[in-house]
Amino acid sequence: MRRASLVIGTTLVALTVLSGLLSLVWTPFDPVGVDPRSALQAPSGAHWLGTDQLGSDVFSRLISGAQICLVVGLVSVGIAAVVGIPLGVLSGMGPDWLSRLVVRVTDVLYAFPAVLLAILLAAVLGGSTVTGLVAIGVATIPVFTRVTRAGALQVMSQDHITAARVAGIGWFTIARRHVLPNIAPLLGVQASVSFAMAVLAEAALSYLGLGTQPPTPTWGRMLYDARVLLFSHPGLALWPAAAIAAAVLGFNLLGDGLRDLLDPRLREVR
Amino acid sequence: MTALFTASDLVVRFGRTTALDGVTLAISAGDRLGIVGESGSGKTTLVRCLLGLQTPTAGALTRTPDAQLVFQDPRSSLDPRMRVRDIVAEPLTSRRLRSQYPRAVRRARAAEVLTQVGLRPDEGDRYPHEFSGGQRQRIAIARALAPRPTVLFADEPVSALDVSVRAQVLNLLTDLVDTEQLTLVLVSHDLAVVRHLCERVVVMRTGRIVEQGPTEQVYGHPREDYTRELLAAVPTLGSLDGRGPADGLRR
Repeated sequence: MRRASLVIGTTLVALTVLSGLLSLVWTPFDPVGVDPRSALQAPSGAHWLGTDQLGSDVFSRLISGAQICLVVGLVSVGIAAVVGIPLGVLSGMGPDWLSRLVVRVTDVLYAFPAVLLAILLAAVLGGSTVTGLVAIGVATIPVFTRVTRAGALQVMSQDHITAARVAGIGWFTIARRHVLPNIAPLLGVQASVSFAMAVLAEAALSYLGLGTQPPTPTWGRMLYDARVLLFSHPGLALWPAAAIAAAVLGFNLLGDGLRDLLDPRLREVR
Repeated sequence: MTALFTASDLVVRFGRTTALDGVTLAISAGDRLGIVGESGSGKTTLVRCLLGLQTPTAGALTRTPDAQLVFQDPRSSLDPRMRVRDIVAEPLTSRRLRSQYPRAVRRARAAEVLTQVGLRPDEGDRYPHEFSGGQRQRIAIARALAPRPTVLFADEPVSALDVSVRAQVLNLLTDLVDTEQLTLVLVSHDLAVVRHLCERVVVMRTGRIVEQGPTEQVYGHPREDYTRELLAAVPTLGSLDGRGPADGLRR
């Protein structure tokens, strides 16, 4: 079972990554090419997944869409982790007043949904991929801070921390050697869940016109464009939806699998 | 004899509760001191002060940094994500000792102390969950020995262990205290364990020391009612086989 989630997760994530990489060097058609004469074609030997209402090749757009998905996911989770994890460790290990301060600031930030942040940012910078990923990243910071803090508090209550303190080990070393490795599985799972959320949020922001702008293909945008044709051409909505679902599921399963793999207690005893 | 620790009129308050209420105590090199008392009597708080883990609210304290601690629960005191070798060698990586113990020396010392507590050095490759409770406590003892401390604190070192392995771990502690010439501070609510290991005993109640003196004297002729009650509360395991408590322990 454990193996299965790791294998399926890795496969789905690899598929997404490979699609994105492939689309950098090769797509059957220009993913942003418009050809009204061949609009809304059914799947065929030439257009494997058919064409949309502008005549663009759906397969080409779909594999190109993996690029934005991965970039937004990686960068926004990266922003959230790089800021959120140190803040969480600080509030989990630091003095009481610092801990409270971080919690208050986190709560305030938590009250802002990604979409609201994106609207604010878009008002200043205009809607773009960068606006989207910064908004999603900043909105995810408190999630990482909270998870890290909760995990750090739990680890800090254990005697091996006291042992390290009695031995005169410094705080920074304790954080690096004991706290972070013990909460790494937690953070890994959180990262994969947040990655999945980021993919969804990016789709939502593109849908609202606050994220990546057309004609750059994104799965959210494709879904948006397909909504008016949902009954006549369900395939147009089905493919980007399936791609989002596969990526989200893949990262979730990969996170679960990695957590189990990295835990020495769950590893088979040699 | 040099005093390694002196505490005078030590007070620790947590909010409205007073954990230590004016404790005066001196521990000299070579002492084998037992601290007994019921739960909440302030034993652990006193030890935390002596180890510098707790800042006293009031009172004066001098202490030696050259002390190590063995905990009650080896499940919590060993980091589940570290190999036993690294756990045992960790105290050697402190700022104070790092320069004396380069990597290779650390490894050698880890192997040495593992052997001393009755484990094989190659078992250092494993993780704590692969060991039994008694073995884990041996690992915790090995870690405490690694930096060659002068003082060893043990806070209920056998309470979390199966009765069947308690004697083994206690005998190991006794032997190590002898061979390493350690000063021992043993905290326990188990009076038989204290009698077995300690020459001097301090009886605590509600944050105060109510009685202290040589173990045999305190056990034989307790001056305080509280001490008498504590002694009377000892389950007389020994009566089952006709021997005194803890006689099953080698000494």
